[in-house]
Amino acid sequence: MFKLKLSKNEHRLVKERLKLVETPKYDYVLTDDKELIEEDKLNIVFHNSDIPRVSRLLDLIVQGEELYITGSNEFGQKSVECRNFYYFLVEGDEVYGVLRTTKLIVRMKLYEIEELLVSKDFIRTSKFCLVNIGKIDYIKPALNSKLNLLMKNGDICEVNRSYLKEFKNALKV
Amino acid sequence: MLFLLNNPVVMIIGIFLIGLLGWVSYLIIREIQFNNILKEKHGVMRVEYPKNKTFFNRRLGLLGGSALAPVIVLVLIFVLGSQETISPTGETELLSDSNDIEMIYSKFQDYLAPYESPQNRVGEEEVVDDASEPDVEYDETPSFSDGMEAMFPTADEKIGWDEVDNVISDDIYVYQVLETEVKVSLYNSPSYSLDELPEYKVITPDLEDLCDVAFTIDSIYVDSNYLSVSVGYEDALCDVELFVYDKTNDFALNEIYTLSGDIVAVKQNEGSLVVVTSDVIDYEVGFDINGLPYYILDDVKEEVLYEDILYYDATYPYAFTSIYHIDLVNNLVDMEVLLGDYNSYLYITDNHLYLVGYLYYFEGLAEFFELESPVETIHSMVVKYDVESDVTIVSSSEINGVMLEELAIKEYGDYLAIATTTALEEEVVNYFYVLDNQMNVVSVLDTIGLPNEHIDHVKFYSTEVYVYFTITEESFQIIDIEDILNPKIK
Repeated sequence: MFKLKLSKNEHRLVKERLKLVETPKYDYVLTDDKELIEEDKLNIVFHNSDIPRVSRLLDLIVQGEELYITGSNEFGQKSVECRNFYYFLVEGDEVYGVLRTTKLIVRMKLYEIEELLVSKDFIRTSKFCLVNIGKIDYIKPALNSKLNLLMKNGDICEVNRSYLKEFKNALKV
Repeated sequence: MLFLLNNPVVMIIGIFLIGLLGWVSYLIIREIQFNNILKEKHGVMRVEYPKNKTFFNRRLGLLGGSALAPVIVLVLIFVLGSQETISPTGETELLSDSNDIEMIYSKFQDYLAPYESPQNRVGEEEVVDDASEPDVEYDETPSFSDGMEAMFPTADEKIGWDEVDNVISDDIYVYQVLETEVKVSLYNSPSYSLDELPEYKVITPDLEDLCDVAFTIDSIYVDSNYLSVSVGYEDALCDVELFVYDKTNDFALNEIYTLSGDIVAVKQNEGSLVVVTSDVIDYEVGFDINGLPYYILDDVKEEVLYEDILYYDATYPYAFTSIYHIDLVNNLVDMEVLLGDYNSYLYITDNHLYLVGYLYYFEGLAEFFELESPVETIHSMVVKYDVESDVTIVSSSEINGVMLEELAIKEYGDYLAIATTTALEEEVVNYFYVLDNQMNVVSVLDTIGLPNEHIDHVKFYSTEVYVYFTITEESFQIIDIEDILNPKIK
């Protein structure tokens, strides 16, 4: 998504400060030198002193606009920004959106949520589960070609064999 | 590789372990790859990846450990096994049939195949008869030359049971072996030459119905009442025949005793004979043809039973050594059979017989590593029999080192003194043992001789033992055995 081009030999340092991951295919060029811009890309020219601001800008670019999903539990109804959900789970007739310590009942079908969050790095891992990639803590391969996803809240989600390929593709940069 | 082919179980386990290691390695690599991709994805998503790698490292450690654990265990087994000597238990093993013997032999062959065969070892079939001259006075002023006499014995010393006496006398008759007959002459006076003595009788053993091949008379033995004649054959397949003639009945044939094996030693006591034979086992033809040791008396064959054969763990099962006690008065035969080496030392006194054979300690995993020299140490097994009125095993003892010299053993009353050496090994240690009547070690000296000098020969006196060594000329040590329980180097 991003490419960093610097006039001086400070590439690694600036990259770390920007928390930048360069990708082979990129749409944005970040540079401190106007001469290094690429005409067919979106160029961001910055000064080193503006690195924190550039970093926030990059956050906005990557994360996109906020998307809220409404759910309810025994404490009432809440609208939660989608990136705060760890995963969505179908239990019985209900769809639950699991947060760090609580879960909300969401009045949508799982496939509807999946369509809604398609650009938000959520991936279907089984017929009953939709996982936020950003909330995966560790991937642990299991037997029978399955994967166990250790979530940051301590829960474990399983990637079914039939969803494995799609999951791998979703992880690819 | 040959070891693996010969041990399919080990090969299967090895393949399984390799497969397990490969599979776990695959899991580890896959896990690392997935999490690396996840980390990169989080980077692109600008999501903070957990900096605490404890869990990841722990996982890696767990997987790696589970993969390596069986390999480490296997390596430990090999390392420990290779360092640990396979030592014998010193226990006797019960034999139930020929398969037991063949299994023991096969196990030995695996270890000893690249090693020298027992018959090529030092140590001839030497025995000492110490009881025939109990009143011999030993020279109490010994010198180095006395030791040399042990190497080149005089006529007064008896070395070897099988005296192969062709001419003996009992002060009544003179008995002379003439190939296939015994000439009995009247003993009138010592001044007569052998040819001048008047002939009384010529005895020719009747071998009809026995082994019908050329024979000679090996030796003759005489006591107050009996003349015993042992017959040897050209054909090694023939048995030992002992013809016993009654002197009090004008040399009438009293009995014929047929014993299996090759005669090793004979000792005549008053009214009895102790005979030791040896039967080498031909494992290629099997026990159906070999047969087991036996004796024939009055046309009745008595063969030893497998469960009556004595075998000590880690002795080489090369031959049967049979000890017969023949009661000439009552015509009774008692037999004990020991499965062991062919080249055992035999020592007999009035009432006891001692067999000294090699006992093998093997290097651990000698077979796996196909060691050229799998034997780590050699010890000796000393077996004691009571042969006064029959043959009875008394006890046995395992001692360090080996006897390299036939005179290195002597009985002192209830105690047995024996000198051994580890001369066959890299480090030379010489031992002087004293064993009690139950073959318990009551005393041992292990500081005899100079470094790298092994015992060459030993001379026993009533209160001293002279031990001669090989390397340094005229090198010997004196062991004071006045107190037999506490021998000391003088």
